[in-house]
Amino acid sequence: MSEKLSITNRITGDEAHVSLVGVIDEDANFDKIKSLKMNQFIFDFNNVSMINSCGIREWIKYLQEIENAKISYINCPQIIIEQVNMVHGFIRKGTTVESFYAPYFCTNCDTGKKILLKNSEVINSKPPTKLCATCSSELEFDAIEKQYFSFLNQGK
Amino acid sequence: MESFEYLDDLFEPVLVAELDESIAYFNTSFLTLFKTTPRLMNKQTSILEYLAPIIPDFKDFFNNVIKHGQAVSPETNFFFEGQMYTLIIKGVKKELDCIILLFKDVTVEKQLNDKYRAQLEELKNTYSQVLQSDKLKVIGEMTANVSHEINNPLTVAVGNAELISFCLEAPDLNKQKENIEKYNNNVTHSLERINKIISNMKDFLHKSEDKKEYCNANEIIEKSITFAAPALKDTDIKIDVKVNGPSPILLVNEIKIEQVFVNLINNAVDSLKEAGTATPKIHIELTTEKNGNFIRIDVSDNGAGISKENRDKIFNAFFTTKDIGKGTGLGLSISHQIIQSHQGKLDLIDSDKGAHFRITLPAIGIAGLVNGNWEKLINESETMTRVLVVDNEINILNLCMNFLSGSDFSFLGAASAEEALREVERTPVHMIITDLKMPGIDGENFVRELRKRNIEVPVLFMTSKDFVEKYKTMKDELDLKGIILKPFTKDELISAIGAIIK
Repeated sequence: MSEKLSITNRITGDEAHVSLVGVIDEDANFDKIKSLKMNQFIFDFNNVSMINSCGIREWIKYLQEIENAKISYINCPQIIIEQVNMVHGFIRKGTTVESFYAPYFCTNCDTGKKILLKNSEVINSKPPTKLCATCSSELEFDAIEKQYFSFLNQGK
Repeated sequence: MESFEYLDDLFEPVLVAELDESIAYFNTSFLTLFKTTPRLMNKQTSILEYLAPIIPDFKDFFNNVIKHGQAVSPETNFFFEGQMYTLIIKGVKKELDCIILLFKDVTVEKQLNDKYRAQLEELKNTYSQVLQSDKLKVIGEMTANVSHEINNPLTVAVGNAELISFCLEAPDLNKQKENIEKYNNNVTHSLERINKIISNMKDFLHKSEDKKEYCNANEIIEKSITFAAPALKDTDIKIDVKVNGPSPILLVNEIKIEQVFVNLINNAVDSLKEAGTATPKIHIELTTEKNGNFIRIDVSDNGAGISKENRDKIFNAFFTTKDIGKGTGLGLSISHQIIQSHQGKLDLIDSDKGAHFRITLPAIGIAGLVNGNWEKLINESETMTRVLVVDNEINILNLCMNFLSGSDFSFLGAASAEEALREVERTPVHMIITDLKMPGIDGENFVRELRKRNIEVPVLFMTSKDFVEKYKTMKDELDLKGIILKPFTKDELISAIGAIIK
């Protein structure tokens, strides 16, 4: 049995801050946030552990329900970014991915790191320089840059 | 390896390996699937060293690709990084002396399939439980009637047994012989009747759920009315049955169809009681549609009808307008599903002046085709021998169907020559076995009509020995292949067909 998706939301002014926790798959139920008539949504994917093709389909269907709202994604883990790069519609026009995790590697510590980046830090598909929190060495970006950052052009 | 960069545009994970097992290229989707990075992949010196510990039998598969030029793996399941995966791999050896491996990730499809199969199974179990609970409700209603039904023959049996006792006390027993025989017959007849009533009820409880047999539609309705009789007690409700034309023969599960009629009649009775109609009546009408392909059974009443807002909901499970404890809301839902499982439909035709339901069921020709034979017809249409049996006797049709069910021959039935003629026009058959003496067009004229239509299919007559002489006179003229004498055994029937079909 997979871990079910749970959703919490916090509303401030016209803005709904929605946190998604768990697995987004064919059983993902977005009813809880369907009826929120808000102008702006911030979706926090920080604790999404898995998303599959059926989950993406459910998510895109949900986005149609809030078609007039302004949408931002924050704290997108690598699994979300990989899916976003493959499936168009996850980021619809006007949506911004404000922050996301990117894979880095410390050759000194021989350890992989997931570093949270802001979209403004990536210029011309070049990853920002990041230092290892343990040894302060410069980290290596650990993916194909052009491919990994291609999602940043979606939604424009 | 710039020449392979186009592979990055593919959704499918792809890896290119050299014949010496070194890794020449991998696309982004490959990295995503195996949760790895370019840095780690560039460190790998051998594809076998990398993938063989992850994917079962990968080494054999890779060697197969080298040996045969290409190969497709079976669906392969493996556990990786805490997750179960299902992959199909296709490998092709290209002229450049490299091997392209394409990984089709069917994990989601496999998991969905497994999940929905399990859910479907659960649904089936729940449905059979629901069906059983409705049956038990009907049984409860029937019990009162059964005890009443048994009382009558029991009284007759007891009375006649008493009369036999009186006779036995007479001084000259020889003079009483005729009376004793008569009274004894009455006792036997009454006990047989009781036995029939009880076995009907036992059938209702235990009969195989999916077994379909040839049944007379009118007899099913009459039996259902008997079962529903307790509900009619102390009411003025009249039930009339009208059969347009000869009573149709159906290929159905008799018990299930009875359950449908009992449900419909009980609903009508409840509605009539509630409406307090002056001359309450339930009308049941049986019609064979003009083209002979479908049987229509209309059940209507002059009760309160069904309100507009409820019309769309009446076939939903657990929907009821009855008081709490009086209805489960399952009757119509189950009835709907029972009729659907017979490739028929149950519709609400009108509900303004009472309720009018219509059951449409396939006539036996169509029903025979869709009753299990359909799959055979599709899968084995070239090799299978279709035998059409024509007899107005339901028992003979059921007997032949049972005899042929486990054989190499596929059974089709027709209760009349007219129906058989429609069937042979619709579905080519390899052989016909027909009764000689039938109402309407008899066996002889049926074969004449076949030959007139240039249908040269082999025909066997199935009749009693009294008709052997008649058979001989027309054997050559009608190109008859033989005769099966009633009664016959399974082996006799199968060997008679086999001898002709060979």
